[in-house]
Amino acid sequence: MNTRFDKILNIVTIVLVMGFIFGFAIAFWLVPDKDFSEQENRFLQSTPVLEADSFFSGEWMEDVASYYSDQFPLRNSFVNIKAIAELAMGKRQNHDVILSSGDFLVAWEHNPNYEVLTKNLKALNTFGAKMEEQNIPVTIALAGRTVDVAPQVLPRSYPYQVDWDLWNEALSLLSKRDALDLRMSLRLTQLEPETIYYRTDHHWTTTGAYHGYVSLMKHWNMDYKAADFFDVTVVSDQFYGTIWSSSGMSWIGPDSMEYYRFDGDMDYTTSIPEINKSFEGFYDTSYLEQKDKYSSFISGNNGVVYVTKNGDNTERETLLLVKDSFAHSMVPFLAIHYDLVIVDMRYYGKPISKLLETVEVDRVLVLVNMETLIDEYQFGLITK
Amino acid sequence: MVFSSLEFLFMYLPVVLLLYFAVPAKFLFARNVVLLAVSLVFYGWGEPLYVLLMIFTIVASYLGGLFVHKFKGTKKSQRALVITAIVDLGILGFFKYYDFFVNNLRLIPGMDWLQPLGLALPIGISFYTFQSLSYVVDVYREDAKVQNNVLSFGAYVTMFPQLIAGPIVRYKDVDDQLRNRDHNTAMFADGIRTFMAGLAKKVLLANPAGEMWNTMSAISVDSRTVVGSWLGLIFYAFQIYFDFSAYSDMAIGLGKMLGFTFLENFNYPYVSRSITEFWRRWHISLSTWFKEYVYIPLGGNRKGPARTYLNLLAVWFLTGFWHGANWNYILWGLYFFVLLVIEKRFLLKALEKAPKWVAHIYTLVFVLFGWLLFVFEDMSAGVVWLGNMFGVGTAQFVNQRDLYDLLRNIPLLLILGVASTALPKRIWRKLYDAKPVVRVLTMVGCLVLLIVCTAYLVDSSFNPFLYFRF
Repeated sequence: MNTRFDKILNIVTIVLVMGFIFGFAIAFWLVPDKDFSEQENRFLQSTPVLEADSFFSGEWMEDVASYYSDQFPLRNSFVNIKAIAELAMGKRQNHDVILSSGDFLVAWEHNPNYEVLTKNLKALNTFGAKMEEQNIPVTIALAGRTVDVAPQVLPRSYPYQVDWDLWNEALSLLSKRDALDLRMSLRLTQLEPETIYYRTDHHWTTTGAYHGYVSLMKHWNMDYKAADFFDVTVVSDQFYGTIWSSSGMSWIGPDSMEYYRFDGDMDYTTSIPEINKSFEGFYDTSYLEQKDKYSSFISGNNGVVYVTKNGDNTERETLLLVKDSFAHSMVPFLAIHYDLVIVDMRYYGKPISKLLETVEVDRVLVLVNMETLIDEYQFGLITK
Repeated sequence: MVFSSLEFLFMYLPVVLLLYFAVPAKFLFARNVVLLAVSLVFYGWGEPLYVLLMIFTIVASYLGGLFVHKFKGTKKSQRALVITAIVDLGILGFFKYYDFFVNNLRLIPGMDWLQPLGLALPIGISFYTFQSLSYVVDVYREDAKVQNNVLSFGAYVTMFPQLIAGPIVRYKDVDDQLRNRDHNTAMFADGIRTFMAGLAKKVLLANPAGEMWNTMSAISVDSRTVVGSWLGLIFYAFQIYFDFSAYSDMAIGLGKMLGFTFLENFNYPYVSRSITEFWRRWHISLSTWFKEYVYIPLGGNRKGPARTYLNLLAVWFLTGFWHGANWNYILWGLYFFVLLVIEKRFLLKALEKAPKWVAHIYTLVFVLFGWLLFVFEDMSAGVVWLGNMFGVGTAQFVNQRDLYDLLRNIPLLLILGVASTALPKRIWRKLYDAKPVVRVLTMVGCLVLLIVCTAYLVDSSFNPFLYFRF
């Protein structure tokens, strides 16, 4: 064991391992820091400033830890290697994102939080009952997650039962309301999964949103615009969604994003008073230049957004749309039929009665995705 | 700071190695002083205030050792030993157990004026207290020479590789090494290999197993299943073994890189064929410590069977209590006391005659139930989980989610299972000696493991060490 060969091996082992450690230790300090990660859509930790307070509380050390992981050289490549290693171990997923057939990235909730679901739906029930007392019809439409709508892309061993149980519970909690199961509506279209849901994002595509709109209109016994009414335009073929970001599987290619344009769709005004923003039509196309392209629909997440038709003297009804971001791509369709008061309770932060003091509504649509309902309790202020 | 972190691997470690090896080998004392200094930084990184407490324990034990030695053979020597032990254990008792005692005393009517202090537990206090104590006792017994230099003694107690999670190094085992040790490339390279094995065990095996346990234990009570409860607990059993033994491997590897030889702390405990054997293979340095500094001083097995059982009871009560200031840890210790007594009385003989697989399954099942006691500080939750394992309060025997979790983890479970036995190491050893290509592969493997572990560390926020609570 003490041959020349072993001696060389020992030295090479030391050189390789120490070379890696010292190499990255030095590179870490040489490579300039980045402020923002577009891929992850968040600000990165900058050099932590040493202060007595944060030192003795241990906060400084935690910041150093996140500084190292955020600013580590070749960070994205390492994140990729980790995802590859997980898949190579046969886990089929990384960070609860299942790599499914057709390069579909599907987020999965292992253990849905029923407590949060129940609280959210109870609040919506209370709100619904209150509005109906004032003879304002309320519809609660639940949109499915990718797992709910496109199960055929998932591995054969995927535990569908978890999701079925969740939906059964949710729908039974809404049994006293006018509820619409958009998960089923979209499944019944029998369209290809990638036609109705993005492969790299948790949202439905504009086509998915269109079919959601159609089933809603049918549910309301209203006339809807047929598909040939619209001029479908691809506005980007470089859309990398949120699931792509959290999956670590950056070798997966982008989605393309479409707008359903129609004659006169610029004769509408979208206004967002809280950020003093207002534009013609439904699209804030500046987002198409960024990674977060889905936010080009009504300019992303805001508390209250109004959509009205310009110079229309005919009496249009007003729809109060209580929603999460799934509704954004449905807004252009709904706006054909209603003036819209759109509220997102996560961003509004006030009792909804404050909003209802200022507007008169004829109908209420709650449109949320299942993920929103189990993620956190957010409808506390809708009962007030 | 934990070994399996980017700031340890890419900031602390390179700086430490530079400083340490910048000192020429002939100035060994100066190297020890460097070691002491960087170890204090290592500890202060996690506990910026409690580092003073540790220094106090070190100085007290150092002085205790001096007095014990000075008055060798007299009553005063014994008194010095007792006083040092009271100081060391007093500090441990206060910081680790005060609130436990107060909270239990408060249950007695009229005692509710006592208030818990809510002090954070100083990291590694149980480990460094035991090391300091072992020194004073060794000097008292003349098993080790007195250490006249407080810096060298400090280097022994604080040595960063084993400071916060063991192995518990006895003073007499490193005494000579502090005064005289070799540094050479063979040992350094060997240290790297051991460290890399430990890092990979931690990052690639223990953490994923731990993530599965966390996921499965978060399943609400009304959708638990029999299979899921067993699977979850099995993941925990893998997590705690790989987590803890990985830490020991990394400590031993780092020690080698710095010229120290520490004793092994684990010897494939899950292949045991009795609980008695399990405890000879699990956390060896702790069992040895209790044996040498509690069991034998109490008289061991030389004072008749009744006294032997009493001594064992003391050891296992303390072993449990050492792991945490909570009833579940005490029960966990007593649980093993009962099993060990039963084995001593008759079961060991029966197990020897029984087919091997029966003995293996018996051991694994009882160790698993032990982990159930260990993991649930809230014992009522533990009882519920135990019930779930036998179909009490479960909705189903097995559901789709269990099967999915099982299927996607089959490769991991297989690796965990095989890596729990001595087989991979035995094969590797054999081939390593026989085939040069395996030596080259080992070398490449070290780098590949380092790259993959770095990838996991860059990616992950899930990286807890279980044994930091002690």
